[in-house]
Order: sequence, then C-alpha cells, then structure tokens
Amino acid sequence: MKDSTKHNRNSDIPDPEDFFNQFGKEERKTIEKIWDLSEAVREDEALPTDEEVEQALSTVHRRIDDKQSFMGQWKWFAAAALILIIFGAGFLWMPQTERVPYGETAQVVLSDGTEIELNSGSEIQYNRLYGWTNRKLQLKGEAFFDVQQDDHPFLVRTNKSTVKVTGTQFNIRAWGEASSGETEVTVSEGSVRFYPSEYPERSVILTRDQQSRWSVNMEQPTSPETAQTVRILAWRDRKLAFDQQSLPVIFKELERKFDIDIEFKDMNMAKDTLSAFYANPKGAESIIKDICRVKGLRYAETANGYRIFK
Amino acid sequence: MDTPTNEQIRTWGKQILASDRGAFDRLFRSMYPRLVRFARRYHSRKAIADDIVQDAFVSLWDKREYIDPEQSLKAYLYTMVRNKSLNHIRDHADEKVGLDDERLLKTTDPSHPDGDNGQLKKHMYEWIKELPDRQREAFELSRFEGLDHDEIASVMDVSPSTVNNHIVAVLSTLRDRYEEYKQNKIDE
Repeated sequence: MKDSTKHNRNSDIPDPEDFFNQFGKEERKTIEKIWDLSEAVREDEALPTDEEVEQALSTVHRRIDDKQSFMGQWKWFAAAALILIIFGAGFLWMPQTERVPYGETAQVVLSDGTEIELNSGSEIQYNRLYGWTNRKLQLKGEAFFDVQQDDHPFLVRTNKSTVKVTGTQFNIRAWGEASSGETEVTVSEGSVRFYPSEYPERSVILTRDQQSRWSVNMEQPTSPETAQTVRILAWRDRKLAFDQQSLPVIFKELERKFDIDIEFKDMNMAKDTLSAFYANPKGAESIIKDICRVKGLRYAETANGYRIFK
Repeated sequence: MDTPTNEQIRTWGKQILASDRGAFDRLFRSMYPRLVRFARRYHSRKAIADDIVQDAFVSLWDKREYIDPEQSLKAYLYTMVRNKSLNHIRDHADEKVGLDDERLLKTTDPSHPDGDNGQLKKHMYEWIKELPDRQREAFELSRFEGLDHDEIASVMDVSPSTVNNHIVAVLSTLRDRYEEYKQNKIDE
C-alpha cells in the first residue's frame, strides 16, 4: 500500500514547489522532513482486504439492483395503469412481495421514500396502489422502518396486530414461530400506535426508545417500557444481540442469519434463556460453541448445520 | 494499492455517466479501500465506515447522470463520505460507544523493533490526533488521501486559501513538536 513514488507530493499535489516555497529556506527543509515523516502514520492503518472489497462491491450491486428493479416495476406500473383503465382494475390488488433469503439482509425503498431494512428470512407484502391510495404493508419476520411523512397513514400489519404511524423510525419483530405469534415493536424516533388489528381501541402509544409486545392470547399490548434500542437494532449492522431470549428463538435466529439448519430437540431446555452480544460475529460455530459451554450442552456438525444435545 | 491517476478517474467518470457498470466497478475497487480508511477516521466501528462508503457509491450510481466529468469525482466521493460521516456522528451523538471490539489503529506495538523511528511514528500519530479538527481534516486529505488543495476546498466547503492555511498551520505545529521531541532526546 506504499505509494510507488517515494515522496508522493510529486504526484498528488500540483505545483508542490509553490506550496513548499511558502516557507523560508531553512524552515523548508524541516517542513519537508515533517511532511515525509508523517506518511509513516498512515501506513499503520489497516485497509480492507481484496476479499472484503469484493464483498462490499456485491453488496453495492445488490442495493443498486434492488432500487432499479423497484423503479423498473414502477415505470411498468405506470404503463400498465393505462391499459388497466381499459381492461379493469383487478390486477392492482395483486400484492407485491419482497422476500429476503436466509443469510442475507436487504433494503427496500418504497415509492414514497420510506426505507425498509429487512432481516434475514423476512418478507413484506404491499399493494400496487401503495403510495397512491394507501400506505399499507404486511410483515413476516423482522424489519426496521424509516417512514417518510405523508398524508396517508403508514400501517404495518403483522401477526394480527397493527402499527400505525406518520413519520418515524421503528423496528418490528414478528416471527410467527417459537414466540407464539408475538409481535414486538421498538421505536427509535417519533411515535407509533400499536394495537391488535381487530381491536384498534386497545392501543398503546410508543415513543422514542420504548417497546411493547403483543400476541393473540393477550388482551392488549404490554404497556410501553424502555428498550435497549441499540441492541434491538444490532442486526442492521450485522451484529447479533440476544436479550433474555429462549434457546429455540436464538437457534432460529442463527438459522436465518447464517442460512444453516440447527437441530435442537431437548424440550427440557426450551425455556432456558440467554443474553449475549456479538459486535462482529465470525460464524455460527463459534457462537454455538459459546452457547453450549454456558448451558452445558454439546454439539455436532451435520450436513447443513449443527445438532445440539445434552 | 495504486492510486489511480486523475486522468484515469476522469475517464471512469465519463463511462459511469454513460451507465458503464464495469467502469463503476473499477472505480469502486480502486477507491473503496482508501475511502473506508478515511471514513474510519470519523468512526471507529468498521461496520459503520463500510456502510457509509457503500452508501456513497450507491448514491453515485443513482446520480450518475449528474456527474460532471470536468469536476473531480474523487473530491465528490470524499465529500459524500465526509458529509455522511458527520451526519452520522450528529445523529448518534447520544449513543454509547461501548460496543466496539474493533479499533482504528493497530497502535504501534512497543515491542516492535523499530527503535527511534517507531517511537517517532507513535508520537507523530499522537501529534496529528491532537490537532484541531478542521486542520487535521485538511492535512489528512492532503497528506494521506492525496487530494489537491482545490479538491480539499470543495470537500470541506471552504476556500483553497483556507485549506492552505490549515495545512501550513499543521506543518508548523508538527515541526514545533518535532523540535521539542529532538531537544528532549538530546537532553536525555
């Protein structure tokens, strides 16, 4: 990573003479020396490896393509809308789906500028009239929403519950499995109204750094409590955070994040919980190893993942 | 990491303007590592620096039709990375930074058999770190990123003569520190 020329002022700074001429003759020698010495400092800083660069490039490509395919659909929609005036409007109600495979995350920008980050294995569905006549979405899984202000209220439906907002940032976790159809909402900016879809009057209002949960067997969502928002949103930075979560929930999360299968049949331990934070998760195995050590479990590699047993 | 010439970057700029994804990739490969290193001067968390630089490239592609091949594309990229970094700091000022397990620098290992030079390097790192923010930014963009004064001026949104003053001030400070350091060495 050294520059090919010894003194890179020759190549990078036009008219270097002019610059160094500002100093007196005596001074100039020391200043030039300082200039050269200071370069050594930069050499100590780590640069991304070629592999990291390629990985980043493919992330950038994916983000560009996501946006483009969305815009492409949008143009197509405009053309189709014309035809529809003649042939009827039934098509407009066909839902649009964005699904993220295991092992990946994705960002979706909707026509109103609302940005949605989807965690691995999550899915959103919306109507083709989104942004025109409504702003309604369905979510399965986990997503972070940065909602643009607009005349239409922004509504997210999950496991039979709804989050209603105008312009704000929040995270929803609604994995149907393991958590008995629970939906968890965390707000990082602004405020939202959260309620069972069938009982809008049983709502709670959440503001910055507050959290609430609801599942079908509950009368109404839990009253707002302070949330560790930074941890909840860790997944957006490819970090992993578990806050008193049960082992099946944790394993399910690892399955999605690393696109592996985890076999865990010990029902006696299904209620065991664990808290953990990984700022820079290296891979599934090291995490599973940690969990097994803490919980006195063992693990073995299988064809497409791990089997965990007592 | 070879620095692409300004001519090379200009050519890529024209090709990207014509929606050439290959030229975009070449620009990315040549500029991404140094831009990440630059972003990490603002954020010690690698993931954030990576994201910010990737964001900048995504916006570059989105806005490619507005590229002016006569303007420095390099300055444009640095400007975006700097603005996004400063915005991020502003928006997350109240966050604790206790979650890091990554550090910006492999700080010079004391056992490193660099002798005097290693020690001087370490001092130089400290001296640069202690500089006033704006001066340090101008100096780093010039010395470490190889931008010319006009480019730095547009990145920092100040006049080229201000940039020059910043850099002269930095070099004078560093020289004073260096003289003190030498003096102390002799006194020992």
